[in-house]
Order: sequence, then structure tokens, then C-alpha cells
Amino acid sequence: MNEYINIALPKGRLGEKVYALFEKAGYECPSLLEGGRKLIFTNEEKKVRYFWVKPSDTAIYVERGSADIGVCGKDILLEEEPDVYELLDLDTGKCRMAVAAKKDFVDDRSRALRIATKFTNIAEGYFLSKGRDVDIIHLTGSIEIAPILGLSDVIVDIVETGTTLKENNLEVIEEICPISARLIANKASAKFKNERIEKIREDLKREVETR
Amino acid sequence: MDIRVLSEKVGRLYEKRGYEEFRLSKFEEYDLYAKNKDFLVSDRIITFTDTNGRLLALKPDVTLSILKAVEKNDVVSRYYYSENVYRPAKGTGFKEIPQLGLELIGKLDEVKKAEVLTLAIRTLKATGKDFLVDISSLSLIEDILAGSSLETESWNRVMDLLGEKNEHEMEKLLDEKEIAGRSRDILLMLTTFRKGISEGLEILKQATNSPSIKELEDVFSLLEEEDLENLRLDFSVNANRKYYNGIVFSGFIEGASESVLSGGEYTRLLANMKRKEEAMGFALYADRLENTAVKSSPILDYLVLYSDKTDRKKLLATIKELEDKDQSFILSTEESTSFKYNDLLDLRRKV
Repeated sequence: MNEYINIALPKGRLGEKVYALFEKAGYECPSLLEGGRKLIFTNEEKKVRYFWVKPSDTAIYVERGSADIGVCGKDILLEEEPDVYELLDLDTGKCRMAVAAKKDFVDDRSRALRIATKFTNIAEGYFLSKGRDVDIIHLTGSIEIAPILGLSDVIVDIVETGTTLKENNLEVIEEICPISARLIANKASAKFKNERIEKIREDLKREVETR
Repeated sequence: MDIRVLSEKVGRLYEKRGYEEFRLSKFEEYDLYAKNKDFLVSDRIITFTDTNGRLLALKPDVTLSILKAVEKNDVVSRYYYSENVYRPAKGTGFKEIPQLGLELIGKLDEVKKAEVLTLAIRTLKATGKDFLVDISSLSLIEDILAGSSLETESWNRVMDLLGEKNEHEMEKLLDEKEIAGRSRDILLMLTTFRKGISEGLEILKQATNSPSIKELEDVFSLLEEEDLENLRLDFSVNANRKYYNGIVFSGFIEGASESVLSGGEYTRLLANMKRKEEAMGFALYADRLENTAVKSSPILDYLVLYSDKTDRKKLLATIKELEDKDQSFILSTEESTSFKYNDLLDLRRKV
């Protein structure tokens, strides 16, 4: 039991929500909430080490073993398909992956559908399964203006409350899948540090189920 | 661990069990891979045209070349190899990957399967690091799926979820497909399953009467105690059902973030190629061992400092003396160096 469990948490609101779960489950690390620019926090007694990473990078740290476990949105897991175990749905950070378009959008099936999105793999996979011909435009931010400026017909993006869409006169026309934060684990760590990771998973599961 | 050292060590081990070294040429006809795309990890292959206008490839795989060269129906062939393969790197471009492995082709029985598994375990042992081998049975999983009412189109999804140990999504899938009762219980159990061999077999025997349990039992009964200790029954082993069909396994060593060895029975691949032989083998990916190596620079016995004022005869005599005493040394005009040494001989000033 001398080994530390390294945990990658996504920086930001989701990470704070997720940390609260870990804390309730018994893996507290008070110095973490102090703020400041520190990125690595250790609890010597419980032998856990947390680090804040960019949300889209948590899966990379876990896949490559720099973190034994981590928390990552299902959107990133579906888009990047990292080779990791997905051990638990933390039932937080809930939103949906959806197709959105201008309010009076009508799909012209005589030509390829132009889609602006950050999630090119998810978009391609979804429309491929529907047999729809598509032209995918990869953007990295402010996706909502694409259909307004005529860059694309629709967008594929994460939708929470739908307020951003509404404000831009867009609406959800199809829901692709629900998204939430997931507990992921490095496959090798899950074997060599199996008991500890199993225990963390069980403790978190209990917290999630009793919320 | 240097792959060359490991290959030497392990090659001896394989030869003692009757495996012959198989040497391959660097290039193979592209056609071989085009016909067997599914078997390859990636369809990106380095190709070029030779002087005869044939399309050749830098080998992305060894097994297919061995299968092509070995076609004897009633004989059991045992080959091992230590070859470089060329595969896409994780980021961009291609990588040269030293691969070490073996194939047993012909007729399988539990004795032969145990032999291949034993050699896989011994290969990992030879790295000198702590290791574990996960074992799964594709035939067991398929028997369970066949006994459930799940349509075959969803079987690949089940395999993906088993590979992710994704319990909550397995539950969702089973609910969605209305799979209940024993089938549901077993599939959920397999998703989070990870047990030592004897405990694992006991639990599986209670849960299912698939004939694959007997196969596992028979094979394990032929393994030595100390080898069994490093095995775990775990159904998250990644294996493509298109060409693997029975016992499959993945090896992990402490310090490596992904599996370093994988193998299993691939009789199904041969059947797809319309061949009658059965086969089992494994491969170790030496590039994945790299990250676990701790590089230590050699420590020399002496640093000999000289300058243009140094008496050349004295310098030569010093060099000869060190050589006669079989000492290691480096000649330098500067004291700061990038390597380590035990003693300093300063001949810079004329004495």
C-alpha cells in the first residue's frame, strides 16, 4: 500500500464537482480547494495525488499511464476513443450531444449536408449510420455562428441548457446521445494497482448512487 | 531491457522447446496484406515499387508471412522470430517496432496450448520486471452470447464493452435489448471480472456450463504453480473475433502503460484463409518495453586530462599503462564532461 494513485481531474467547473464526489467518498485533499496556480495536490495519508489538467487532455494522461485514473466527459471518450477502461458513470456534468440548426431549417437531401463541429468523429459516425452524405467542417470554437453565416447547414455540439442555441436562433433538431462525466482508468494500472482502484471505484459508486 | 539481449535469451528458451528461428525478408508483397486487411492492426502500410514493377511493402506484421511460407497439413510446425515491423506511430508517421514472438501451427491440444502460454509467461519473466498475464476465452463469451437472446449484430458492441470494463453501459445495452435472467447476470459479471485462476474457474463453473471452461481447466492444469500465480482471468482482453477464436491473452509489465505482449488461438484466421490447420501464438512489442528502461551512462575508470604543454612521451606511457591494466578511460582537454568517471589523472602541466 505504499503506492500512490495518481488522479487526473479536468480543470474547471466539472472538475470541482467531481472533486466533491471524491471528497465525499473519502479521498479528500483540502489543499486542492485553496486556489492559486498549483496543479498537483497530494494527500499523504490517503496516498492519492490529484492533478488538474485541461479537460480534453485527461484521457491522454490516463491512456499513457501518467495518471492511473481520471475523469473525462463521454464526449471526449467518443471523439478520441482512448484505449482506457471506463469504470463508472459519475452522473454529473450531464448534457447531450446534439445536432442543431437554424429555426426553420429544412434538410435538402439532394446534396451533402454541411456540418460544422469540434466533434468530427462523432458527427461522421452518427451520419454514416444514417446513410447521409456529409461534408464535415472542423471548427474549434463558437460553432453556433457557422449556420448563421452560411458556413454550414447544421452543427454538432454539446448542449446543456440550450440557452446559447436559443440566443443564436438555433434549436436542437436531433439528439445524438446523452453525455456525462466518466471515471476512466489506465489498463495497466488497473492491473498492478487493482485493489486500490477497485476500492476507489466502489466508494465513488456508493456516493453516486446515494446522491 | 535491450531488445537484442532479450531476443538472445528468449530465443534460447524457445529453441529448447523445438522452435526454429524464422528469418523473414524486410519486404513482402503488398498483396498479402491487401487480402488480409482485417488481421492487421492498421491498414496504413509503407509500400514501394521494386525494380520489377511489383508493389512491395515494409512488413507491418510477421504472422501472415509465416503462414504463407508454412503450409504443411499434417505436421506441427513451431517457429519463433525476432523481426522489425513497420506500423503507424501514435501521432504521425511510421515507427519501426522490434517484435519478438512465436507461432505453433498444425494441430492444437491442451498440451500445446499450455506450451504456448508457458513460453509467453517465460518471455515476460525474462524482462526481469514484475508482470501479469490476463487470460480470456472468446469461445466462452460466444457460448454465453449464443445462449442469450442477443442478436449477433450486437455481439461486437458487447465485446467492446467487455474491453472497456464498462458496467453501466453494459447494463444499459442489456436493458435496451431486454436480456434478463442468467444471461444478464453472467454478462454483467464478466464485465467486471478479474480473478486468480483457481478462484476464477470456480466462479465460472457455477455460472455457466460452457465447454470452454473445461478447455481452460485442462490448459491450466498443465501450467506450473509459479506460472499460474502471474495469471488472471479477465474478459477485457482485446482480441478481434474475426481471427481469434479461443484462449486469448495479454501480458503487462510494471512500468509500461499498455500491454507489451498479446496472443491467442487464431485458428479462425486460417479457416478464413480456407486452410485446415489450427494455430496459436503470441508477439512481444519491444517498443513498449522502452519506456520502462532506465538509462544509465557507463562509468569510466579514468578521465585523463592533457594540454599542449603535456609531455607526449609521458602521455603515451600513461595510455599504455592504463591499457595494460585493462582500465577504461577518456582523453580530454577539459575537466567538465558529460560522462561519469572514478578517478582523474591530470597531465596538463609539464612536470
